[in-house]
Amino acid sequence: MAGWALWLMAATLQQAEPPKELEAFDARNDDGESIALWWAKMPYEADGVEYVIFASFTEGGPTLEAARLGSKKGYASDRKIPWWAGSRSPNHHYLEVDTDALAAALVDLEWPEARAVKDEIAALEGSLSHTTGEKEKVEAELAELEKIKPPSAVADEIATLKERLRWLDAHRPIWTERKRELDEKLQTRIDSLSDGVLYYQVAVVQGTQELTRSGWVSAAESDNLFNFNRIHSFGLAIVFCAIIVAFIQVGKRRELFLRKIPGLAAVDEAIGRAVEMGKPVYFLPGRHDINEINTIAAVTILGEVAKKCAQLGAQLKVPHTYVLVYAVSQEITKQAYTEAGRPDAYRDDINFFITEDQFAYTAAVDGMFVREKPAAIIYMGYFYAESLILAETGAGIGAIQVAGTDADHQLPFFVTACDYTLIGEELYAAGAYLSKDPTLVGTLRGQDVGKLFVMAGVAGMTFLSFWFTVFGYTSAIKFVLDLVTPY
Amino acid sequence: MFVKRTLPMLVAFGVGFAFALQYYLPFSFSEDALSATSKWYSIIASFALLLGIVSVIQSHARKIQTQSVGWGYSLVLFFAFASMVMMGAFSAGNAETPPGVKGPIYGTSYGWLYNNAMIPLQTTMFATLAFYVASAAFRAFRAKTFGAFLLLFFAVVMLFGKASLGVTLWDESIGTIHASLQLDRIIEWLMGTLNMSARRAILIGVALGMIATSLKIIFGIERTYLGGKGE
Repeated sequence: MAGWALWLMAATLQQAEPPKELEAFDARNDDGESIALWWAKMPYEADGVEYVIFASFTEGGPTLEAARLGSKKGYASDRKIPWWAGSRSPNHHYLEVDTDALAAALVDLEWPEARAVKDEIAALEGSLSHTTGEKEKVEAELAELEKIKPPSAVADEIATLKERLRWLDAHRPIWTERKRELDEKLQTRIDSLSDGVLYYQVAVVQGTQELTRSGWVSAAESDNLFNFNRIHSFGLAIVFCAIIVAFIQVGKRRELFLRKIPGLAAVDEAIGRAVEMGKPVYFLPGRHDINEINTIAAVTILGEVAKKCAQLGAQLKVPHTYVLVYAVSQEITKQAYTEAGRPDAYRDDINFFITEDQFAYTAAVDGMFVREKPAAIIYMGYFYAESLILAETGAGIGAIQVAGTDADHQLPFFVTACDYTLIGEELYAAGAYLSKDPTLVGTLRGQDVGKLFVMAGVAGMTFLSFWFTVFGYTSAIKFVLDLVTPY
Repeated sequence: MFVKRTLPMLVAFGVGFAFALQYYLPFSFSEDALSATSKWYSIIASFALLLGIVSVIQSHARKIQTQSVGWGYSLVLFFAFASMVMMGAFSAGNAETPPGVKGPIYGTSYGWLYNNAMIPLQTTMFATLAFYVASAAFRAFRAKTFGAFLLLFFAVVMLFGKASLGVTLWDESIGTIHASLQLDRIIEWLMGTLNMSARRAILIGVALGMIATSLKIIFGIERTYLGGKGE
């Protein structure tokens, strides 16, 4: 039986037809640097049989091996794309080829000088890279020698090193310019040869023997304007934006109900207590820089806290770990004091920078807690391992502590050590809650409706996936899951 | 008012909108713009460090001048600051001795100071976390209510699961009843199902909060980061 199967396979390979339905086209949804090849699954596909892709600048011109693929691999069904972004046929092969790299290799076949130009470029790159290291080394050696007294003892060595530095400084710009010229020359030649279009053939190979080869197909890569693999997330973003904008309008027209968030209600209580005790209020805006959205949420809350401190006459202190957050917080605090009608109470030292180092910052702030014994400590933003060290110290000195973070790993620590904790999204709601600005409150309602939308989506998808699994509709499960899978 | 309010808001709108779209635009200009702006941010942040140094010097100088509580620590700060700057300048910013240059095998003086002062201090501070965890756990794990009892119970299970002695004791007793009662399976279920579902719920809320905050900034509804609403 096995012998019969082998004979049949050998006979099939002897009469191997070229791959059918061969197409070349620009790879979709990428940054325009690849083309895709597509051909049908053939009957002779077996272990040991390979597809070899050949490329050329011209139809019928000299070819170069562009890629090699086991005949039982690279099916379109293996593509990591959603169902709407292209075919995932199990009966077709799909292969993407980087055309820039391919054109750079193909030029060797058409332009005799190409190899020499590439070798010179590689040599220049090597020299530039090597001399960068050498220059640093020579400068360091020179600095060491110049410390030696008397200088005359090492005058010759210093002169040699200085001469070497001069030589390096004189030659590096020449090499850089030469490399730029050669790169341009190579690219000009590639452009003149290909005009953006490359030609491809697919051969079927067993071992060293080529069994058959397809005709020519051609394609040029082009920039893609939109990544359609992500259109589902784009759609969801649009829907969510629309919900938020709609509720901003609703918020402007009528007062919206806001559920009480005990942690935020406690901010007033904490500041009041600090005033009664004559002790400071500390506000820590987290350990992320200003480019993170949780820090922006934290400094927004700082504005409201500063306003309340100004109104009640509490002493506010804000230690910072990032300079840009410090600069932004200074402006926010100054404006908050002005809006509260107490510009006279504003001091430049409310905000102060400590260090970017995690534990140096923690040690410094812990020290201030222990020495000054603040009545209230407010932690808002993103925190790392320092969360518990800070919050436990605060609890130890008897301060009333309110924390708010979206760092889910640090939440247990804050819940344990603080009096009130804002969990996750409440951090983003805090600014609106404290300001009671109707526009901002509208965004909160929009956020809640968005959450309802997500919950309904999760429940619906779970329900559908369950029943599709029960009834064995595997393709329907993929259809549903693609809608919620990031690509 | 235009320079302080309107212009930053226009910049925030333009840049925010463009980079929200950038995720969906695969062409090379879009990718290049993203990498260029990341570099701009690094450049701005490094210049801003000077502002931070001025702030540190000012606040500690004031403490020494007014002799406020703990002003001695400010003296220590100035000493440490000056030492690191001097050693850094002396060693041309290198922590390691450059190859080929005669010097101590343990690196430059700057590297020595960093490795033998800064790192041990950082490690010491981090190590105190263990004691803080113990004191926080002592306070949190009191079974006053049913919820607190559940917290205590699962905390004990987790503690057992993370200690080899606990795993052995459990698996040799309860674990022998059925394979699904092996401690590693229980821990996996607790972390992968119970804990993960709660975490995901929090993370979905956080993601929506981030989108809402970003929208507020892009559309100029939230202007606190500009130093107030400006009305």
